[in-house]
Amino acid sequence: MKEETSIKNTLRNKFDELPVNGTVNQDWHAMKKALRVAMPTAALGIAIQWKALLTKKIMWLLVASITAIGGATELIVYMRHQDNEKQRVLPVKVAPVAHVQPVKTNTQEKQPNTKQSNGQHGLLADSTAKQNDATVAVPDTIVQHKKQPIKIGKTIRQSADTTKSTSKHKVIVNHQNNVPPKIKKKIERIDDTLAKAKNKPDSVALQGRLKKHPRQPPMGPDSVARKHKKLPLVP
Amino acid sequence: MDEKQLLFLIEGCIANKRKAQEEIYRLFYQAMYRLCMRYLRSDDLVPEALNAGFLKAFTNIKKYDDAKGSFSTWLSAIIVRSCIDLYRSELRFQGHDDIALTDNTPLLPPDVLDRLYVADLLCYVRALPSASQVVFNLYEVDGYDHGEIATMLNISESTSRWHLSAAKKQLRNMIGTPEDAI
Repeated sequence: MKEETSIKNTLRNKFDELPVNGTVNQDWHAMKKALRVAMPTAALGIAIQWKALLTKKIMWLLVASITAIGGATELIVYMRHQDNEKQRVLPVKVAPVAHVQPVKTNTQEKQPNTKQSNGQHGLLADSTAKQNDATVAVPDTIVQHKKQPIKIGKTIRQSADTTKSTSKHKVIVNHQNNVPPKIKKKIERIDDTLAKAKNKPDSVALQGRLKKHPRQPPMGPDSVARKHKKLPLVP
Repeated sequence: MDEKQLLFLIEGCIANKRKAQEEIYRLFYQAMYRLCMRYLRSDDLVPEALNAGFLKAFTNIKKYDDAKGSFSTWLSAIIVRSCIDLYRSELRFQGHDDIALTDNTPLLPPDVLDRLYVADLLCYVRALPSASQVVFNLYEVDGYDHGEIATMLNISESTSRWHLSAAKKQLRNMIGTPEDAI
């Protein structure tokens, strides 16, 4: 029994002499990786939590910034739209018309001066209603649209100048933009001709025109005209 | 390292402090590495078995009771089990119930063992069949009895005895010492 024990001890001692081939650092590195997965430390847990929190924060910041940018863009678009509406709707000329007697044809119609419009739409509605309904009462003020094309020959009241009479006048409008090119050319040609004629009163054309209607001398028997025309002498 | 320091490190390991774990790892690395070398057939498998054993020990370090035994014994038991687990599929134990009272003759005389190089001895042990190698290491070197070996390997005690006897016989033959000389 003693011998067996001594043999065991000898064997143990022998095996304790075995050279170790492994490298502690390398194996510990692998061990640490395994431990990190199996048993994450508190510091690592906190770090992971912080990372997650930061990621969440960044996510929230991103979402908030996107929302803010979107909202701002929407606001800008809305404001531009509003400005455009305002420009379209606001009256260009508002002037009182003197000596105009309101014609009471429709009892339901209200006085535009007394009416308080809430917004631009109301004003637009009023102005369009006035334009469409020509027979309806003549208001004190005429609202003209800036972009509203004025038809040639349309009769409106000249309300801008209060000194002038309120009788209807034909409004001459420079309509060259609406004229087709062929007619425009013709007009230009006529204008040129007229201008030339004005500038050169002694021009050949004018002389020719004047020559057409000279004061005819009496056609006597010795007249030059008779000779020229070779008219037979009437006894 | 004295007991107090070791207990302090163990407490650090219980608190999951990486530094304490590293200290313990470095302290027992060589002893456990040698242990794995004895149980395994190749050195390549040693780090794997070693780290698996250490990981098992660190995760279950709360279960360690210093009143029951030393930390080194507890750790080596875990490492041995991890080595056995690593190539359990290769372990094929043969049942021999008729070896109830097998030979208690010692392996080799101590003076013969002294003359052997440890590298040669390791080669001889590794040359044994897997099951016989494990039983020989458990019984002859680590001091387990047949009951513990039977429980550990899930075999009968007589099978353990048979494997030990077979291992001794083969080693004697390999070393070249006549049986009657022992």
